[in-house]
Amino acid sequence: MSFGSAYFTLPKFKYVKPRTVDELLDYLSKYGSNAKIMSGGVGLIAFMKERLISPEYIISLSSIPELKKIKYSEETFEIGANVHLSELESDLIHKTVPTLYKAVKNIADPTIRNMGTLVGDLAEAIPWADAYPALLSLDASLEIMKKGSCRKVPVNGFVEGLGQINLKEDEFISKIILPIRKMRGTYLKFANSSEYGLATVALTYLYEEERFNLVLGSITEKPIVINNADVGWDFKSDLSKNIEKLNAFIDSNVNPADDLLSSSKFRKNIIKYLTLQAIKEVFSYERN
Amino acid sequence: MADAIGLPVNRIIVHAPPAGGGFGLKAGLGWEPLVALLSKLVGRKPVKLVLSRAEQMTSAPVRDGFIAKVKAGFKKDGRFVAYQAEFYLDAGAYADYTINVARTAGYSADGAYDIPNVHVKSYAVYTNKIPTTAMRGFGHPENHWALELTLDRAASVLGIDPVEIRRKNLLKPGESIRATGERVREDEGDPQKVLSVLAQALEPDHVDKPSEPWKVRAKGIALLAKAPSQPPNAGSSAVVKLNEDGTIDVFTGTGSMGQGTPTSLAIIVAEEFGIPLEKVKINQLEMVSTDTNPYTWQTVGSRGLFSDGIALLRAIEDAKDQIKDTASRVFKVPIDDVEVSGGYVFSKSHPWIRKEIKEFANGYTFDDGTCIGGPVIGRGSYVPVLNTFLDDNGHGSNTVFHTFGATAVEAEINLITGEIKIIKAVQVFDVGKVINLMGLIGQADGGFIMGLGSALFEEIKFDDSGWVLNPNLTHYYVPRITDTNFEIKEKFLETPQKDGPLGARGIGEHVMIGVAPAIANAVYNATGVKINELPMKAENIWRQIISQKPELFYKAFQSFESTLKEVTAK
Repeated sequence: MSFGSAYFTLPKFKYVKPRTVDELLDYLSKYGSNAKIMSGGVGLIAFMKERLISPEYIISLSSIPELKKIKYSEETFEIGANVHLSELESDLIHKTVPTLYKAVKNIADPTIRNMGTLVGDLAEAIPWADAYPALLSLDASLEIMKKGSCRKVPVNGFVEGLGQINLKEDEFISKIILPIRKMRGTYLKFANSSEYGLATVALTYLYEEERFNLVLGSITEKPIVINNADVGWDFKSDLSKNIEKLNAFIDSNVNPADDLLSSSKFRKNIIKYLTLQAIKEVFSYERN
Repeated sequence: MADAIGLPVNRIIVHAPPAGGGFGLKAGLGWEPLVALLSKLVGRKPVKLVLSRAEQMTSAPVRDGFIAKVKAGFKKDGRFVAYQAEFYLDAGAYADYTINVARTAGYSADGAYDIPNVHVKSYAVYTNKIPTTAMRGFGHPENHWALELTLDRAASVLGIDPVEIRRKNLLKPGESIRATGERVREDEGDPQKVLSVLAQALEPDHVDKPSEPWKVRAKGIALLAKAPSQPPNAGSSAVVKLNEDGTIDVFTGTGSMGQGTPTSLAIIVAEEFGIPLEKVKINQLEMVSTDTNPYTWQTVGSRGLFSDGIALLRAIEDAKDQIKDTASRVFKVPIDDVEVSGGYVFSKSHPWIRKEIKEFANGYTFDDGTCIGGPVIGRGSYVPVLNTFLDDNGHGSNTVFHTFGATAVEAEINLITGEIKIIKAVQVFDVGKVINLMGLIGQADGGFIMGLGSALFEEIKFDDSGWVLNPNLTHYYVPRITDTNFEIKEKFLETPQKDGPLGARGIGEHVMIGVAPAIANAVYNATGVKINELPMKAENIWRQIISQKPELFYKAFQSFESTLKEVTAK
């Protein structure tokens, strides 16, 4: 897990700065295999400094106004690829998609959030990144564009493994789409001796639809999504019985990784603690 | 360096600009000769060596790794009878400064206590890891970790209060003999007062309820004593130059690295001449250079203010003597009658006969142009009095002063996660004389936070072959502002050191020594769980709770679940 580079400089690259999405798609179709897209650059520059990647072209999103927009309608939130994380720390986001708001608050620090983007945090595909668990719990989807076509995919399945995403060389993520429903949600992170969480929990509860998504992050290569049906949660019965079912489910189905940040056993302990904290926060609110 | 590259000492000029933190890591010679040789290789052009973060964290020296095995004997009333210790210091790949750290950790293993029988073996061990070196505390955070934890465990076995067992065993100034055979000076400070001020500030009868039923709270303390670790001839020197407008230039050898020694030295000059601080310029705040600054042994060991300070006071006295000599001839009074203070030179018996100091800066010039005296430049030097090396048994007289101190914390421990949260902290130091209060508070608070880093977070992780796994500040975690959201009370005692500058002692390293043992003792008092290893990160504490007191964990989890049911049942 070493992120210590011997280099001070970046490898050589050519920098292009399209003004429109069409221009961007042209560049991608031309240079795709040798190009990387830069929105905030927070992860990209670090990876390049480490020589983990050395793209010939960097295509900046910073001059495309379309990608800087947050669109809010009755049904959805659309967050453009170049929306900075700090722009998501708003009252509107807090009220409508609280899980995302709390996850964003847990990403790095305010300075980094002024640069970094939600799409970037997702596309890095690092197991301990905060955006992905929150987006999974919110049933988010992505708009992915390439020259001549556009597809919409659920965020679930987008990350395939460490640094591996379901995106072709000539494609880019233009926006994240969040359905707006009546919900309560939270995001909890346990970090010790590192900036990265050694366990995170995203919980989104759609109380009118009587269903929830619980996402356990930072404990395995990909987050673990658990919904009410998985654990046999019965909204009509006593909460403590449901909690027992949930605990039993985690006990037998969740096997956290053993690594530099934490042992598997400790992670399991923490993930249960965070899960119950999240349940307490989200479900006790309902009765009040 | 001169030896290494075969040049006369005065052909090598070291310029040391103000640095951001030294803490001892730069005490030994490391990369410097390499840079000089590189310069020769490229035709004597300037060469600058800049390490990346990863290079710095894999190859520049760090604090020693430390393993202690101790055995202690007490009488039933809590009196210390014997202390046996073995220390193993990880020196890394080179036998550099850690040899000195091992020696110091050994001879100072008895801390602030009067122990009749002390037997210590301290080994520096070669490994294939990063070279290790001096680092704030120089063996004391390490050996105090062993000693102060031992005291709390003994107190618990004997059923004595942790404060009380320490009170019974503290060194008595003028009376007690340390393990080195050195008698504790009469004016070394007041350890009993340090302890009682600490105990009082800690509000012993008051512990707030924990914030949740699955958490526990308790207090922990640690005492400390430390002297500069230095050779017997570790000298200092100083020069004071009076300028024609009454400003003063000061030169000593101690470098500026944020510790504030130059500022304190400047304050001494301003006080002694009775002039505003703005009129004193101390050149180390811009640059220390070996060809222009007078000698000081090293900028280390909490010795700067003490050693340079004494030299500086002697330089001030020398400058004043020169002024007095001239003034006695101008005032036509005996030299003993002339005083220099409050910005003036005056006759003590006829105080209305006075002139501003600046009139004597370049000698005194009479109305007819005749000049007597000459430019005033004072010099002073200091070397420890009758210090010796230690003999083969570790006996000798090798210290100039010890500063006593104490650290206390109130901590909250989450029994489910192992997290430790500091609620408040108190530190007490007998500094002899406070020269610069703001600087001192800054040092003490900063030292506590640095100690907190060692205690809770900081850890270089190695793989099986000794390679560093976390050469970055993402996984080498240091305390941030959100980790320091608690009050630190600092209390300073002023039991003067007779030969100290205005009575002062050093304090630079002491401020971090007690932090880790105080926190571990709080954990022990709250849970009965013995913590032996640093850092006390959550997982380590959790692991110890699970293995030593599993019932604490299970009860805590039950109470957590029952509060959950309570809240959700509403």
